[in-house]
Amino acid sequence: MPLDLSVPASLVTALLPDLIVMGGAMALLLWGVWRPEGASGRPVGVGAIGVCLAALAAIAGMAVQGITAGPGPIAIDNFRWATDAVILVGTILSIALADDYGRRAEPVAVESHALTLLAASGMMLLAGARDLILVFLGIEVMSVAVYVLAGINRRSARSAEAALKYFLLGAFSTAFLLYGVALVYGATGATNLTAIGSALAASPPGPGSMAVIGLALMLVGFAFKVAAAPFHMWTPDVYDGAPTPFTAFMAAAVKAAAFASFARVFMEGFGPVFVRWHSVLWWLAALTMVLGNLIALSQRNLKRMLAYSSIAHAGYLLVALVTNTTEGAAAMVFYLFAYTLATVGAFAVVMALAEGAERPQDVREWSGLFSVRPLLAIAMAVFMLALLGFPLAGGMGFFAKWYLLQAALKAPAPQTRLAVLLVITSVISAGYYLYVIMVMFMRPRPADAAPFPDTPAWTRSVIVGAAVLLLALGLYPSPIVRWARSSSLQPTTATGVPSTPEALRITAR
Amino acid sequence: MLSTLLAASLAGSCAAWPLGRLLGRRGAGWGLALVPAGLFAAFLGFGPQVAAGRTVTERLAWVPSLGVDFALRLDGFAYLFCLLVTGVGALVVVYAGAYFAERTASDRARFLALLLLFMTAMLGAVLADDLLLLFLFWEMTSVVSFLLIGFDGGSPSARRSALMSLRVTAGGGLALLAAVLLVGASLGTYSVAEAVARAPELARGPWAVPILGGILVGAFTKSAQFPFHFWLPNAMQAPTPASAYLHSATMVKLGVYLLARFEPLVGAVRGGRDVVIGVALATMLVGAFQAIRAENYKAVLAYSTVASLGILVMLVGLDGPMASVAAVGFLLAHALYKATLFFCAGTVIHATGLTKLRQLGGLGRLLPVTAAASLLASLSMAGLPPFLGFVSKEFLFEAQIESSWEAAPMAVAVLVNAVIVGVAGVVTLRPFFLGRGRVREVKHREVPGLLVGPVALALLGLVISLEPAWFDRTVLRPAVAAVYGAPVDVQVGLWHGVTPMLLLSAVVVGVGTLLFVYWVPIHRRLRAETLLDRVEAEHGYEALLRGIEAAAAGVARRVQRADLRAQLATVVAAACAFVGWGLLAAGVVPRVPAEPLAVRAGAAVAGAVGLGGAAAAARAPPLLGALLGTGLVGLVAALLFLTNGAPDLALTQFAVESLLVVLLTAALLALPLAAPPTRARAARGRDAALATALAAVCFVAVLDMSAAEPRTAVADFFGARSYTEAFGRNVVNVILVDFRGFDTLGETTVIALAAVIAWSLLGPRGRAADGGDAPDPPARPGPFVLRFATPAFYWLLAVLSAVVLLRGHNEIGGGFVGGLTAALAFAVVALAYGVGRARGRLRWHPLALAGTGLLLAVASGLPGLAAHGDYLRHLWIDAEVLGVAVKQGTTLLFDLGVYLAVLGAVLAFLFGLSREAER
Repeated sequence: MPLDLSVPASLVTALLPDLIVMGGAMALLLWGVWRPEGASGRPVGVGAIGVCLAALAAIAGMAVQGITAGPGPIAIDNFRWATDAVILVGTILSIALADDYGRRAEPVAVESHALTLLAASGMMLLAGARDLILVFLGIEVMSVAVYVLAGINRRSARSAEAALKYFLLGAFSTAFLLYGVALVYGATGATNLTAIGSALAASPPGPGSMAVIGLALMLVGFAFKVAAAPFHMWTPDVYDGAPTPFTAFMAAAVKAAAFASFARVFMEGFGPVFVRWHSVLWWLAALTMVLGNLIALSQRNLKRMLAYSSIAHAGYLLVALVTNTTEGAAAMVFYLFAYTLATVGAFAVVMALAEGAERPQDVREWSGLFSVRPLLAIAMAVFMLALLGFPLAGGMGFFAKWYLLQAALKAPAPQTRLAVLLVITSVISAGYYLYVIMVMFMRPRPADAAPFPDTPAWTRSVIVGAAVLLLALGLYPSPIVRWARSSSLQPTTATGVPSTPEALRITAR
Repeated sequence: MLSTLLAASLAGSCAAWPLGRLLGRRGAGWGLALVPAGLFAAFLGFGPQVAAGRTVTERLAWVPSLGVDFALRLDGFAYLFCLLVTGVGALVVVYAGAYFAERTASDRARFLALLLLFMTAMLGAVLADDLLLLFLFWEMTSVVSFLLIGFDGGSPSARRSALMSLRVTAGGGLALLAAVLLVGASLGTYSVAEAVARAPELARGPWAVPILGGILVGAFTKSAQFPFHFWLPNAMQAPTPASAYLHSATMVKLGVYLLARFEPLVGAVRGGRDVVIGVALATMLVGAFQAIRAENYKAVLAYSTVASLGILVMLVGLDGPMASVAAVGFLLAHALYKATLFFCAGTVIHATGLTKLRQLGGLGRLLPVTAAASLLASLSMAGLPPFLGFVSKEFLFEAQIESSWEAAPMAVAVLVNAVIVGVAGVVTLRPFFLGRGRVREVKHREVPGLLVGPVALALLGLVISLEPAWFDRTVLRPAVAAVYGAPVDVQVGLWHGVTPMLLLSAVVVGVGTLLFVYWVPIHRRLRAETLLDRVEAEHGYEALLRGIEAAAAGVARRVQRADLRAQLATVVAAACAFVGWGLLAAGVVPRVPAEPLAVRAGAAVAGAVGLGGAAAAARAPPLLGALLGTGLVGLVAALLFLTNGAPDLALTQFAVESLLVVLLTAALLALPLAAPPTRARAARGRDAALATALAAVCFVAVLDMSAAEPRTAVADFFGARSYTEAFGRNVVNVILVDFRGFDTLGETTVIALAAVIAWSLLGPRGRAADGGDAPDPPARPGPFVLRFATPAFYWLLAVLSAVVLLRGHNEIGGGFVGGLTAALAFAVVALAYGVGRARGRLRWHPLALAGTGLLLAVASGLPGLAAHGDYLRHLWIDAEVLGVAVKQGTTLLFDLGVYLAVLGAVLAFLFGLSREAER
């Protein structure tokens, strides 16, 4: 059912999931302010998760009805629904963790749930934006909320440092992005991605210098948001300093949203000039995989290790982007889903084992975890193996990598060298993922080791749920593969999309 | 059927953990052995089909969309492995049940479950007809092996060995994965059988060498070939039943299995056979040599296993049908006798608690049945008739004579086989029959569970060679046919007359006997050479690990700076590099305006002033100076906007600049004004270079932009319709509130959000933990001049903001600038009298302002929705108020909303910052 976005009612329909989340955030904010003193914060958490579930239901409804639209400012396609779903799953898990965190360790303000939802609405906008202005808007809404979440624990100096670093560097990179948007608009006369694609495809000798500079600057902005080397510097400091639930949120949802938009902008908008941006992205992917994995090897602080691991995964995901194919986009969605489950699960275990206030946790403190907390140790092993991409025991993680590799090899321009590099760097990553498992399962627990705190109920549910889902989908990944594949993001080719007059209309009305 | 068997095996291993606890000390082993025994019987049922040369296949869709099928295929070669895995498996489980009798029930159950899990993985690996499936099971065997080696994780050496074996074998497995991927990419199929059948096609393809390389690395690591062999002796940390099962009889043969499957590819790629045989010969020599040097009972066996694996790989590498026959025969013979010897070693170590060979002796009287089994196995190992070992050795030499390879493999094989004869003597005669009285008592006598395994396997080695008909028909011929690719007429027989093979066997036995007799002096002599310890491949592995770790630490040190400034520098540098690289890759040069732009005096002066401001901001050590410099640059920018016909932009820029100065001043009050310089001279130079580079990028971009033909389509569109459709003469404002009203609404939301955030970070609630909602600090008189001028300024700015807001739709102005101006008014009050006074003036809560603003903006679209079904379509009314024609629309509401949101957000910042500063 095609939707005419120039009709406002349709526009509201198109934005329904985003509006649900945004409205929910506002409502929660008010409830958080006016709730009676000393009341439990749990209803707010339940409400926040309820909002996400409502948005998920809306997405499912839209996807089932098969609503589509022309190349308007807001994309209505399965790629958006799929990435939205990944974002919302990450958000739900993070909210559950944050709720336990707030009750156990630090008095995190109830507003954190509202901020999380606001960030999620920005992410969803980002995932659906087919107009550079909307892309910028989505990034802003998302980032501003996340900057605050990173520093929400006001009593921790590390948390404050993390937030400030993230904010300053983030603002800087977003400025690059905005400059790039302006230049691209100047070069093509459009902010709509489809129109940009048509304009670039139509220019006979290739893109002009203005478009190239704009492209490079936009790449900087996106590379920062997905934490690709050499724009990854902030990641370990911020992930380490931020309260763990929000670290999980950043590592999973922010990355998913940024990649969704990255893929859409570069495939739909800059697809015709694929050959131009391909080499830069290629090196970006290679450098990110190598640096992320290599530095992760030298980390003993768990959160920093996971931060570098998330950088490495950004490198793997960039490989999907380099392919510039529908299959690559589908592999990316699938990978993001597996990665979200595994990485949120891993951070959940880190949070469950942290005592009271946050402090840096050394891997070696987990010696003999299996003997005292077998369930947590097994779940963590599943997450580590999933991130490693290990077959069977790593569940869906293996198929995620497999899909990615296949997409890389089957692309019209096969990325064989990049695929081989992916495998080699995965071997390196075994060094730190397996180390964690070895410590948990084989090291004896020192007699004088402090006992681990009890795992709160929601955190336990998150951990068990993520691990079970990973394993089950590892045995039977077909539904998710089908779902990811249906989320076809069509790269614009040099000859492909005809420029429709409608596409060139730049007004939102 | 095959998948059912696999599922049954998996179910059995899953049930083993709880069942193993229930069955108790004696029953666990015997009870759980029913699982592999049942599977063994089921596989025996396939005998007639396999003997008839048929293959059993089965294919279930698993992840069809990724091209992964659950495809199983049973041919003669897989059949041999299935029988071996399940048969030996049953005996191992019985043995392990008895071996772990004194351990806790939980340990026992866990161990048995792991053994059965391994069996499942092994069956899956040999039955898989999908390369990916093969890889999955392959890695699963590595993981189970890791868990078994580290089973007694209390000791650091067990942990180290476990991790080592996992790194080597699972890492090799990933090399195999790379090969699998490339096979799939080259052939478009992942079927093992098809890939083997199309080996010539693979060999001609561009990826032949990487594919073969991946397969070889996978096989060599798994089968402990030089230089990856070191993990196997270390793996002896595993409890002995696991060593018997995994590290001699089955898992280490998986590499040989893979190589044998892909033998056509090895042959088709030039140099393939040379590499395989070269590695095999090196492995044989190293294994044999180290077997002589080893002291531990299990280590001697492990090194002799390495040598035997070398022989197997060599046989795969040799061409000719007899090589296949010999490989199959030796594989079986070795599995039978080596597992037996491990069983016996386990019993001895378990009963005495001693691990070194020289401590043992005279156990024949204490453990008579074990001694007998060990003797039978050793005779087979030494290749004496009438044991299976003899038959397989005949095949081995026949294969070598027949193959196109000449002397080198033959000489090495004779030497290594002689050492194996020596080992066979040492491991049986020394502990059991020599050195009488060295061990006087054992902890326990023989129990049935410890005897069934060794006795059954040792006897089997005799029975097969004496009564070969069934074996020949059902196992040997189909297996050889599957490996060689065509049926080979082969007969198991003990006497073929006096052949060259027999003579070679005699030589081997003779040399081996001499070696045994002089074992101790040779052993001592070789151990004395410490140089040999230093050239072990294991050191290479450790050096590699250390190297990677050092590299990681080095990269981390160099790349990862905690310093924000260094991080910023990286971002800037990389951004500049990206632009340069992008231009270079695209092969385009930035354009330069065709005719030089006329330089006007005013603009030039303004530019010079701006440049001065920028330089001052960069150089000034005190923060206030830097702030003023930056403000100067902003003002110049506003002036340039003004002179270039963008008054709206200029007004906004002015307002923003003024406000920034006020806001930052509020923040700076909290900081020492004269901060000492924190950068060294070199750092300043580097930063200057980076800044210059960034400026160059911006300059080039601007230059390029000014050379482009102006696109006026959009400007004309809006210019033409601004008044006719939206009744506004200020095009900028019309675009903001009307044409792109949605975007503005979004931005307004962001601003309101920023207000909430600023308040939650800086506002009093955030510090509730310090003691409740702190009251605003009392009013503080500021400097006299400021106090004197403030009332006038305040009212001036307030009125100005209202004017700017109201006329914004037609003249210069609008909600955004209006809001900024109003904020400026309150900022001045706050500077002069403190925040308390400013808040008193405002009366409203900043957040309430922001929220109301957002609501107003949202509501302003509703009338349009109600009237025309078009959200944010603005309605207009023409009215006469006091004789003046007034034309107002809902745009004003929208603008008012923006105004309030901006005001609220800025004040939230300002009040929060000033409060921090005044603390």
